[in-house]
Formats: sequence, structure tokens, C-alpha cells
Amino acid sequence: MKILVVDDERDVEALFRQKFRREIRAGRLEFVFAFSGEEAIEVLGGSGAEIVLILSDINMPGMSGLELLSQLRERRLGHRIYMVTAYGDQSTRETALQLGADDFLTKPLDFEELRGRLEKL
Amino acid sequence: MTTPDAEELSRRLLANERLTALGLLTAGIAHEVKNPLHFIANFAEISSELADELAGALPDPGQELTPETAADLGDILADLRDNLGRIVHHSRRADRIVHAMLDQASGRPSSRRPVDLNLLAEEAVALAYHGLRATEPGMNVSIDKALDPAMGMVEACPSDLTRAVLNLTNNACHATHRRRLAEGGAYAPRVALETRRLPHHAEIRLRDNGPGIPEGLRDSLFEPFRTDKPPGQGTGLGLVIARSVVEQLHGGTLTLERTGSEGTEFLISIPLAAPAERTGA
Repeated sequence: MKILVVDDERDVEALFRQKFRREIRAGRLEFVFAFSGEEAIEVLGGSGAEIVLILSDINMPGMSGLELLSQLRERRLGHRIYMVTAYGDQSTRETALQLGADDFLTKPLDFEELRGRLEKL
Repeated sequence: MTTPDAEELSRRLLANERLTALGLLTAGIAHEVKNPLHFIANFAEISSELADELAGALPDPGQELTPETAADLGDILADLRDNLGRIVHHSRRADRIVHAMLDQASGRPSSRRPVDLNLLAEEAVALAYHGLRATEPGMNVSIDKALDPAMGMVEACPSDLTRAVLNLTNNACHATHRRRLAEGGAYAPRVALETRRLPHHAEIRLRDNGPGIPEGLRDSLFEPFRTDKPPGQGTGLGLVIARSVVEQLHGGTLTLERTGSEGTEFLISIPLAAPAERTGA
């Protein structure tokens, strides 16, 4: 399963690669990283078809995660999208769901919980 | 009880403004510090697991070290080294953030020294934004940054200049948030920070796509207590203090470049050479 992670913090890549080391080695999960909304759109244009899930941070400089979400929904790309944010407030959650997010995760990410969700997909 | 005189009142109001700003800062710093702290915790945890893997992969005494095992051990060690580097990096980052807060909290004018102006502007904007978000969770503003790679170091009073940029950012975010509450729908609140190094000046521009400053307020913008924010939300001293910091501490200018229905732009311009140097005194 190919997953696109969008976050402006570069160390998120090292984190995911190490947390999901076993799954990656076994070929069960594959991660691709974009460090901005703009980059995410480029990546989706390239190997977009193979990506099954997008995990995107909301607070990013430039194109915010919510803007990325609107753009992706506008293009009807049909990917499953989970928004990730340190701000777990009701208003942000509602906005994200209204804009078409499939789910809403709060930081710090509970990797065990995420692992569980991914297994169910 | 005697009525406080004008000077005493002014002192109290400034102290109040500082406390309000501090409250916002604390919230902002708490959020900013969480990010590096999470990385530190996560990478430390992973490294601990890696150390266990390392122990497990080591051949027993007397057993040969196969090339495969050697390669595995090499990989684990490389990850361990990288993780420790990341932990150090994020610790330093957290330290800078807390330092910035202590500087602001102390209220003491900071001494003039060379500062990385891009970093200062970026951090001031982040502090303001996250502080506001923490106190007004519905606020969701996109922050664009265009920082001049040639900016380098500029002589400035860091905590005071941070305060000025913070105040401008505060106003910008409030403006766009107000517009969003009024318009909703497709309106995307945006605040833009731009820095530029010119031959004799360093510029910091702050733009927002809010509703613009009402005609009636434009002339008295830099006067104390002129605010269109609801009571409790602003002291009306933000711009006054920002201008005072820029003009008096830096010999620079803070100007309203434009404002209208498309938004507002403020410009901070700081001379690169200290006033004494410039006049040759």
C-alpha cells in the first residue's frame, strides 16, 4: 500500500521510515513524502494512481493542508485523505471534514494506532 | 486613594500590554516547543529500540561476524548516529524558542547585536500566529514567506524587533480572521512575510489579504489606544510600540505602505549601519 505523507518538517520522513521499518521491508507499506502542498500535487501527478492514502499536516507555510485538501477534492482524485494536526479543535475538525477529509488525526501521532488503522485498510 | 497621574497610568498600560503580549507568547511557545519535543521523544524511543536490535544482532563470542551481519550492524549504527543528530538539532531548536520567550518576558531592552534577520522575522511570525491560534482555535491563516537569501546578519535589538514583527503579525492575522468570519466561503486568509536586503537597508514587509484599515482609522493609526478590536482582544498599543521599537531603537521606519479592500501592507525598514557610523560621529 502506497502512502503519501505531506508535512513541512523534514524529519517526519526519518520518523515514518523508522517506525514502519518492518512493514516497509516486508513490502506491505511504501511511503512517499512531500514537504509542501505544491510538492504533494506534483507527486500525485506523477505516481498518483498508485497512492492509496494521503496523510497531510494542516499547518504548513505556503499552501496549507486545508487548501491542498480543497484542491484535491476539486480535481476529484478520489484518494483517501486524513488530515493531521496539533490543533485538535472542533472548528478545524469540522472544516476539514466539510472540505472532504476522510478522517482527522491529532499530533503527536500515535503510531501504534496508525499501524492498526492501516492494517484495516 | 489618590488618582494615578498620567505617567503612572501610561506605565501601567504599557505593563498591561506586555502581559497581554506575554500571554499570547506563552501559548505560542507552548505549541512551537511541542514540535521539537515530539521529535526528541520519538527519535529517542526509536534509538532505544535500535540499540536493542544492535545487541541482538551481535554475534556470540567465538562466532564469526558474517558480511551480512556486518552490513546490518552498519545500518543500525548509521540510523543511531542520525537519530542522535536529530535529537541534538531539535533540542537546540526548543532552546531557542524558550530563549525567545524569556527575552520577551524580561521586558529589558535587548542589546544591539548582529542577528539573523530572516530567522528573527520567521520566528516572530510563527510565535504570533501560534499564540493566536492557541487562544482563538478557529483561526486558520496561511502564512507565506519570501525571505531574501542574501539577508544574512543585521544589527538589531532582537527581542524588541521580534516584538514589533509579532505585533504586526497579530494585527494581520486578526484582520484576515475578521474577514473570514464576515465572508466565510471561498475566502482564504493569507498573511505574507517578505524580507529584502538592499544596499543600505534591510526590509521586512508584512501583508495581509484582510478587509483593509477603515478610512476613519488610517490617520490615527499610530496613536495609542486606536483599535477596532473588541475589548480584551487588543490594547491598541501594538503599532505604537512597534513604531517606537523600529524608530527609536533601530533608527528605522515603520510605514503603512498600502491598505484597501485587497488587504494591507506594512513595511519595516532598518538601516544597515548604526546611526553613529552613518553620521561618522
